[in-house]
Amino acid sequence: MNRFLIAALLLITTSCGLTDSEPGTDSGAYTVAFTAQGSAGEATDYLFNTPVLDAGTISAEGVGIEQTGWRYMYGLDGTVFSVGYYDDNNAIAYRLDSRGRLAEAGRFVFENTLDVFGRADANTLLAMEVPRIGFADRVLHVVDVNSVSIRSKTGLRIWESTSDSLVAWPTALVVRDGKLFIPFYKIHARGDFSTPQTDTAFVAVYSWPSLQFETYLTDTRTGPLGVYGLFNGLVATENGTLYGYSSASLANGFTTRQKSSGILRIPAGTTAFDPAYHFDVEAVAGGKINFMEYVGEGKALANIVTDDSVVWGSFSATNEIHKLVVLDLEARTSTDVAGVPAHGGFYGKPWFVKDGVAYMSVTTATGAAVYRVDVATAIGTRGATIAGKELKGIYRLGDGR
Amino acid sequence: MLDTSGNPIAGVAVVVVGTTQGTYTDPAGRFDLGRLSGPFTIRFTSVGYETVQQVQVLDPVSNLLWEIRMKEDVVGLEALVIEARTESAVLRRSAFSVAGLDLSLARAASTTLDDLLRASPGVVVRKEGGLGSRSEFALNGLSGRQVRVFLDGLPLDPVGGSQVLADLPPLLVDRADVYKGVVPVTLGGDALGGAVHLISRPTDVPFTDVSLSGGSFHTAKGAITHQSVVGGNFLRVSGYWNRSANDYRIRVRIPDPQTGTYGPEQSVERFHDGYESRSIQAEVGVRNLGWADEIRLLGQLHDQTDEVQHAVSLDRVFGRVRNWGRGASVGGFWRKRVGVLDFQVRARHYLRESGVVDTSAVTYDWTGGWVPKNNPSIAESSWNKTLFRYTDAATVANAVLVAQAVPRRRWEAAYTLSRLQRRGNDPLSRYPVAFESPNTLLKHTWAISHSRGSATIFAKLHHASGFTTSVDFDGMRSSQRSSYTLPGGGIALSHRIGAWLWKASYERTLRIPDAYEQFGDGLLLLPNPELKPERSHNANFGFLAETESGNHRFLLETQVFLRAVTDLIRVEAVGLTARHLNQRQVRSAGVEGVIRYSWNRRLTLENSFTWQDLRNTTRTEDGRPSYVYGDRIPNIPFWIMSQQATYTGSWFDLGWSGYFVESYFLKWPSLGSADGKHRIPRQYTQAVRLGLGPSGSHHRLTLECLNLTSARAYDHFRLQKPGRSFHITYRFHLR
Repeated sequence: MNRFLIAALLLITTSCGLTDSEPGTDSGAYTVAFTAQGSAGEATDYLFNTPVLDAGTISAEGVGIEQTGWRYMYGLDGTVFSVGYYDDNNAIAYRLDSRGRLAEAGRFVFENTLDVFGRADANTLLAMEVPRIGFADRVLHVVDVNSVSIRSKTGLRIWESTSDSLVAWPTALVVRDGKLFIPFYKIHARGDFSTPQTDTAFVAVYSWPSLQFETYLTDTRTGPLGVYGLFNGLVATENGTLYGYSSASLANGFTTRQKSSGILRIPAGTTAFDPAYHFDVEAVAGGKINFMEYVGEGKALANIVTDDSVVWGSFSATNEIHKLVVLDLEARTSTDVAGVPAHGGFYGKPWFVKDGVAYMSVTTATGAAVYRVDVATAIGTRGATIAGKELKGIYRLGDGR
Repeated sequence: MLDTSGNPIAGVAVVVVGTTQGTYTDPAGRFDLGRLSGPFTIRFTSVGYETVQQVQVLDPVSNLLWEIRMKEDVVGLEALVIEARTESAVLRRSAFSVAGLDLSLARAASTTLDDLLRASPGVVVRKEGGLGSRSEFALNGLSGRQVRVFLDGLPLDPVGGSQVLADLPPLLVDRADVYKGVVPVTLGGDALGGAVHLISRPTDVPFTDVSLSGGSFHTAKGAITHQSVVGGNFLRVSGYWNRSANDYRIRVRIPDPQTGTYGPEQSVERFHDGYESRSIQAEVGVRNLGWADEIRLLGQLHDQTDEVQHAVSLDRVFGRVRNWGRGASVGGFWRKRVGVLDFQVRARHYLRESGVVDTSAVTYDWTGGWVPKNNPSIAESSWNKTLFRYTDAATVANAVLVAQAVPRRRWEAAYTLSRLQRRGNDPLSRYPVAFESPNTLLKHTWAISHSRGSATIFAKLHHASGFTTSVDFDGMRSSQRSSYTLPGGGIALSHRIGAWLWKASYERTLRIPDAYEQFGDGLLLLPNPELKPERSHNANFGFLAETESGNHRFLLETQVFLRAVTDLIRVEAVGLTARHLNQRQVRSAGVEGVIRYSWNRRLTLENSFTWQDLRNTTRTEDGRPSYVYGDRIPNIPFWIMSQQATYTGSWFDLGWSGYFVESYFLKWPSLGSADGKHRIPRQYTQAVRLGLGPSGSHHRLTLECLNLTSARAYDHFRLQKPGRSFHITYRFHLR
């Protein structure tokens, strides 16, 4: 009977021509993964559409599809994956339905946890299970996006040293020209995430899609590439150049800091670090990189750690130890973004970038808001207030359909 | 046995003075002393009546009948109010908000204490599954560590209080008293939200009591207690054994192992959820020594094993991982009365070892099949194979001094000590494990109370100190210490107006953070030595009304309660690490009550209800405005009803019970769209019971059907409780 009622209501609203502005604001140009802030230290994610990011308030009050447990969010074109960590070993895919409403497209179950994600092609998600203790395979899950199901699982060792008791923690999964690039850093196998060696950058290269190991790229001009819990250890430009950033900061979960934080690149068509290119970001920006997103035309946005005194400090949303900068990767310069306050950190890959503009969720000790950053002018503008902890992701699923 | 108006009195103790013979009157007031001959002094005692003593010449051949009338003793009731040992009905009249649980029928059934307690207003018991599954006890909205469980005057929290409620058979317990929010000084300790006091069976009469039960899901239970009494001295031996495979059916969707996509919902049998617990205890008591009116010594052994069926998610099925525990304890009691002073000292020392066995790199599915994990070096439920175990050494002790020079005026002073040391190790781990350096927490409570008539005023002083050493990833050793001293106190008043007894009570309570919260686990849970105690204002106001007309009796009891809790401790995650913080504020307010009708002491109809409203009163979260200020605290039931009907005949008893919990949200009610939110569904479960055996007989057989309609019931999100089950219990009771 309820179904009939809903069908009847839908008919009425359709016939009234109200499809674009249904009550409950589950419509609009953007989809957000909104993290509410509870009172017991818990934070629940809600996924919903919102028409505008520049003004007003984004709130889950009465709207949103509720998620369970702590989750990573990963957007791949027209699909956003909500991936449970620890409590829930499943990934749920959401897409816009024919009427523009957010709807579940399917879900799949995995064995343990998935820790890092990447896009292989429009229909292929890469997700890797990374054991946090001992010497063990890192299991690459190749996921079919359309059918929301696992196509294959392959154990990759990536790198390990039993004599030093060190194993690899990957920080990105990037496919380019028939190769899979996996930047990683070395953690202690006892599982406390201590990092005794942070003096070299590493990338493991595998053939794609056959996943045969090919080579390691190493470089001692900077430390290991990428950061735990963030998926951008290596990012690709429009022409296929790969840029990787090293952090090796206490705030990002490293326990030694043996090199200045900087950027290396792997030019398009090659599988080697460019010996002529090293961007010592720490020297020009005054701090180590926490997260970097490529914007276009040789420019990137990055969070820079301004207070590197506390281990794991970057992962607290309210710990205001980051400043936002525009990095000119060619000119190797850094420009502080005006108008964005010092802010806390996050997990995943939360910034939305399009046409030289970035939308990002910025959480400070006093509140959270969306900021619109114009990369050309390095000016940020405060947009919608976030009535919660943060946005784990901002997506335009309609563009990817 | 009749009262002054000629109605029969049940439950009157009949003791042949100078012998070990004794019995109780049945509901018709009759009793049978067996085959005795000669002149004997017979004493009749019952709470609420004046004691009667008569000399009779007993003759085993002729069936001697004589009539005894007892007079109601109202004054005695008032004076008994704060005695440790009073009947449930008397306890009800105390100024404290306290419910006494009558276990007389439960002793002949397979029911657990926590199932009995949840029928009391204000009490919520939530279970994850079947026998031995994790059980959470809540009182007026506060739960877990905030509610303390006491056994014979000593706190059980160093040894896991609420688990005892699921394990301990009612056969071994005389009474369970539930103190709501305001706790008398004789139960020393930091009970933020109230306490449950379990009282062992009295030591003055000899008895043998055995119960054996079997039922669905391969459940078997046994309990025995035997007590010999010689000239006031006693020896008691008790033991129990609980076991269940918990192989009940649940509804799941099984994912394809290759693609990870779900199949259709289907019914499966749980296959790795067994639970077994065993305990044996011996206690000896000697009375009338020069230096002591009474001393008692006891020793106890206990063990349990618990198979784990799945993780938080039903998608992660286990077939081998299990938890285990074993322990031993010794205890003592000393009592001496000097003039108007009554001095009592109790102490108990526990040694307990608990651990997990997770050594198989396998993945199970709901059909019971398994495959090796792609990584042979990790374990079934953890990242690393583990035989982690921790050892607790706990001492609890309590000294009480009661002074009563004149009736209805009483002083009580009490001191309670609790010391817990926890140490962990893992023979499989080559790396540091949690609690490798021991955590120690020492708590003292001093308390004094004065009662005058029906008013009691009391004060408590709490002191706690803790110490730990931890080693960080660089091998740096650091030590943490903490120390607090904090006062508390309260008042309890009652006033009778006709048939109405009005009661009000208030206490400023606190709970000292435990060693785990203060010092972490030595790994990713970081210490916070600055953690403060949780504090609460607890207030109760209510009335009790009883009327009697002919064979009809009515009882109505209602109270409103308020718990305003500040500095609640919560976990704050910082990257991969976490620590405990004082941040939350919660206000729990509500109303609870019970209405009962009984006819001729044979038929009883009862309905109890609890409506509680827990609200988040935390205005800011880490300095940011809270958007859930004033919202109802999620994942806690707010509307609970419990119904019972029993009929006691001369050779049978018949019982029916119903338990209702309204649906509630898993997450904050204000957030999310109505169709996109997770709920714990409404549950209504019913049980029926038939007990067979002539009254006065030593044998009784009880048949039970639990979850009669096989309702799909949940106390926790996605964790389905057992469906319909049948149990048969035989009890042999000799006294």
